[in-house]
Amino acid sequence: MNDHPELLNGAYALDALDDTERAAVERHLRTCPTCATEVAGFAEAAARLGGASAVAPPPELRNRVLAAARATRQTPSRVAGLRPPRGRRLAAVAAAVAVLAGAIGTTWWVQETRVGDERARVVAAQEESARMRAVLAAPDATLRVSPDAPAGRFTAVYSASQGAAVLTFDGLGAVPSGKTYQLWRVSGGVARNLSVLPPDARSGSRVVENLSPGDQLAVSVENEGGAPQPTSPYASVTMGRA
Amino acid sequence: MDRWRRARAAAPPPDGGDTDVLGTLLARVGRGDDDAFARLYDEVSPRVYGVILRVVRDPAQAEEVAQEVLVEVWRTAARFDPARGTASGWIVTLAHRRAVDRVRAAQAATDREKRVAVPEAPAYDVVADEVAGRLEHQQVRRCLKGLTDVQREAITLAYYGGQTYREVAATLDLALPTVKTRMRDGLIRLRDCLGVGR
Repeated sequence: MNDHPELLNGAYALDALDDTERAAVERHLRTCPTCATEVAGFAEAAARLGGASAVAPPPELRNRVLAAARATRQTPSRVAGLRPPRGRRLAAVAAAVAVLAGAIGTTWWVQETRVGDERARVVAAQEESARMRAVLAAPDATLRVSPDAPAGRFTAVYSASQGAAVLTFDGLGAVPSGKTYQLWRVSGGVARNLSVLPPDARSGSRVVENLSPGDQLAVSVENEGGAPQPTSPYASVTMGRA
Repeated sequence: MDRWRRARAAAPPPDGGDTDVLGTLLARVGRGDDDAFARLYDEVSPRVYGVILRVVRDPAQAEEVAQEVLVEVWRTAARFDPARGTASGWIVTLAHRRAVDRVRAAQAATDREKRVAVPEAPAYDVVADEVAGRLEHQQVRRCLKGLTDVQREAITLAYYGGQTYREVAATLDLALPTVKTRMRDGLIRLRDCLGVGR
């Protein structure tokens, strides 16, 4: 696969790859404009297959979706407020990270870095992104998918040799008003706070360092502002050896 | 290149002509326009719900995933880049990916207990028949017919069945490189026949 990654372009456009292979193709696409063009054409063709099976949804879905949209804050355009070439650079980094998070989203990740000036943000984004690539490219990287997430996906690509994991979550379920998600690392039965997510965060991606086999990454539902210890576990993954 | 340009000239525009309408609507949605979103919903929700239903099969789950996807379209509309594809392509691609995610998450849970590597063999006949029988788009149907049997089976199993190419290889009893190649060759043919791509 490493010799001719473009052979996977078809399977990629059909969503027929596992997460590790998908990440590998996306890495390749960033350096191969010809492949990116091919994949764009494939994606349009595949979407036509999807469009050809149109079915009217149940009528009540309309009001539910419109109401949910009204209650959902929009994500600003990725390059808003930045001038190229720095904007392009951030866009590229943001795109790489967005890809890890399932191609869309990463709102909280961006918000979390909204400290300091623009320059610090770009540098931090580049470093985080470089570190993510290093972990994902490690020969012993393995994908762990939480078996118990009630909705969405909670996954970690863990590399024992790097001692780190890329944690990615996406499509987490709605939480009651006043509640939010909180991320944890669990080692030797002791949970430590990683971060409290903004209330509307449902997807994101980040690197977690200093992980050993057997350690866990977890997400729980807590009161806004976070809790000292997890009270209502939502999903978790355990680091293993390759 | 010439081949697809000719095909494109002869074929109706992608999305059956609503490219500009949808792109314009999506741009307005990206600026927070509620009315545009309601109109966009009316235009694309059958495509979104339909493709998700095909993949996840269960109507209740399909409705749930469709809601997630449509709200995600609202949330991230400002990130749509018309230079990289059509609005319909962007939305349906997102819907398909979320549907596949849902199926795989459910599978992961079952597989831990069952450890069944190979899905039931007859699946592809069913899928291929359904595709042929239920496609509304004459053009898509015609273009699917233009593929070799193996190309068509590989593509429909993956796209409508939500299978990985490894699963497709097991289902069709083919080597992995063969499946990769058939998927790619089939999509090249499909793309050229539909007159999409750039």
